[in-house]
Amino acid sequence: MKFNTITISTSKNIAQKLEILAKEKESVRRKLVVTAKELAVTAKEKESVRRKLVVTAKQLAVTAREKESVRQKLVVTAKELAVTAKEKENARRKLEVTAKQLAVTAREKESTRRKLVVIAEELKGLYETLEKKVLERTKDLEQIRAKNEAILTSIGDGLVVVDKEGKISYINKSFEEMLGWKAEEIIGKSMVKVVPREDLNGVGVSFEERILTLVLSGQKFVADLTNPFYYIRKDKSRFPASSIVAPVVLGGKIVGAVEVFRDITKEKEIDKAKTEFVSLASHQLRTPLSTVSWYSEMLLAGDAGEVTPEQKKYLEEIYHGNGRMVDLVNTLLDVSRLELGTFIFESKPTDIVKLTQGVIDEQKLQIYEKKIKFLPSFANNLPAVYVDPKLLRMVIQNLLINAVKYTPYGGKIITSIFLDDENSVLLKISDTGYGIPENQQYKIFTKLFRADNVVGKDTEGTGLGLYIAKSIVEQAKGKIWFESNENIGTTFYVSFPPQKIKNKTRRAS
Amino acid sequence: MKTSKKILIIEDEKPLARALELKLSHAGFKSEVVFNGEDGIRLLNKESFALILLDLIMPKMDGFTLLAMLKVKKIKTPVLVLSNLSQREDEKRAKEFGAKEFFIKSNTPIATIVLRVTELLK
Repeated sequence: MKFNTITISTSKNIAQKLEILAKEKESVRRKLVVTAKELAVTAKEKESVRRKLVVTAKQLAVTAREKESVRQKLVVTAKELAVTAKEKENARRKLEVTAKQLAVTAREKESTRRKLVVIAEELKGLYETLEKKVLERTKDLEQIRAKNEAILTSIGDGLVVVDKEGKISYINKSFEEMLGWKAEEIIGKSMVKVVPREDLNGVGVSFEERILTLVLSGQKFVADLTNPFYYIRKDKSRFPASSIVAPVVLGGKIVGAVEVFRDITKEKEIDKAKTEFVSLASHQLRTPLSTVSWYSEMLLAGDAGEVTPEQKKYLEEIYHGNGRMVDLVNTLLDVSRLELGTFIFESKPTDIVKLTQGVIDEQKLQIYEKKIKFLPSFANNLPAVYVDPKLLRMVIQNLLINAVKYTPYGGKIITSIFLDDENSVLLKISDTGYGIPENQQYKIFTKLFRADNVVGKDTEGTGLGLYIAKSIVEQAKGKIWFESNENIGTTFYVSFPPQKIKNKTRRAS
Repeated sequence: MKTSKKILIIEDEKPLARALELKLSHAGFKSEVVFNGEDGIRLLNKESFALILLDLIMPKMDGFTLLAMLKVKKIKTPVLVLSNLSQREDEKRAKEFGAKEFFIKSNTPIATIVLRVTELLK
């Protein structure tokens, strides 16, 4: 039984040993597991380190490239620096030169400065003189200005200056007195609005038609109003006036206008008195002339019994002389009316051919008696001429009577009427008469002038016919002129431009 | 002849009035002469005439006034004005006042006036 025991004991040991072994194994296994885990971790870290290393390696490669690039740049820079150094050297050299030059300039400057000091002293002297002169001149100018102002203010005519908008910038005392406005009331206001204008028929003149407006807009340059008008005062009363409006031009531009006007009440009264005087004088002169005319006419007609041939001759002289006197009175009256401007022109469309034929008929006897070859030639369908027929008749009469009177026996007269190149109606009267001496031609339209070569041949002329003719033709906007050669003949021309104006006598249709 | 036709001459210038009267009488007309407008109107109130020859500038009453009065009185006798006023305005005015014709005496032979009268009173 021992054995058993032993055996049992031994087996027990072995089991214990086995158990220990197992335990140890287990411990080792666990350690191994731990180690394995640790190893796994280490492996991971290693991997991570490796990766970092790869990255770092890559970065290093990049850095190397950059370094290379920087190096290359440095090389370039080095080269550039070398160039800069050269330039610097150049610049330095230039600076040296400049410095030398500056030294020279400084010397010159000093010299100039000295001169300037001298000049400054001279200038100071001049300045003082100038100052004195300016003061004197300013005083003079002030005096002149005051004088000018005084002249403008006291000028007898009304004066107004406007700017380019027509606003009043100056008026004188006469303006104030004539129109009743004070300067302070109307300076800066529109002249055309403040002072209305009416024509002689009392019709208001519109803004657009006012001469001032036309002058400011450059449509008229200088307006010389020969036609009087009415100006309306502040109190609405009016007075007849005439004015001259001229633009104020500065640098080729209209910057305003000046108007000078005057009250012509007195002139109008004088004109009226003159007209009445002339009219009355001619009436009084005509009365005894009528008596002489009618009684000598009656004697010649045998109303107071038979007259002897001798008596008849005397009576005829009386009658003829009286007739001349009547003509003279008529002519003088015409002249004075023309000169006074009181001739009333009643213009209407006139058939100039018909008018001329009428005048020719009157002269037929004289033409026949002098055996003058008379050749009329009138174009067909001529436009009517816008004139006063009675006055145009007077013109044609004057020209034709002259042609007959100053053409010798057996001469020739051509009368023609036609349209000229400019569409003007042209009347032409040519004669083969005595002509007008060349050195006297310029005087032919002068009042009372008679050419030397006819004064002896005909004592009855007045020297007024052509003067009147010219006045009438020009009033009717026509032209009159002549060509003449002594002892060859004279041609008179009268032309009327084509009618653009509205026909005043025609009624609206 | 035409003796029944009586003409009134109103003219202050006596020789001219006389000349007209003579000449018209030679032509067979009877006429009456007064020397101013006032007398003319007085006569026209009493009598009627075939024609009036009228001067314009006269004392007491001038021709224009007389023409105006004829209008007022509705006297329709034709009037020939014989004046030495020669301006166109005078003629126009006279005709506006009703004058039939206007003659400037110094420019018109007396025979012409008589001829015109004869024509009008035919």
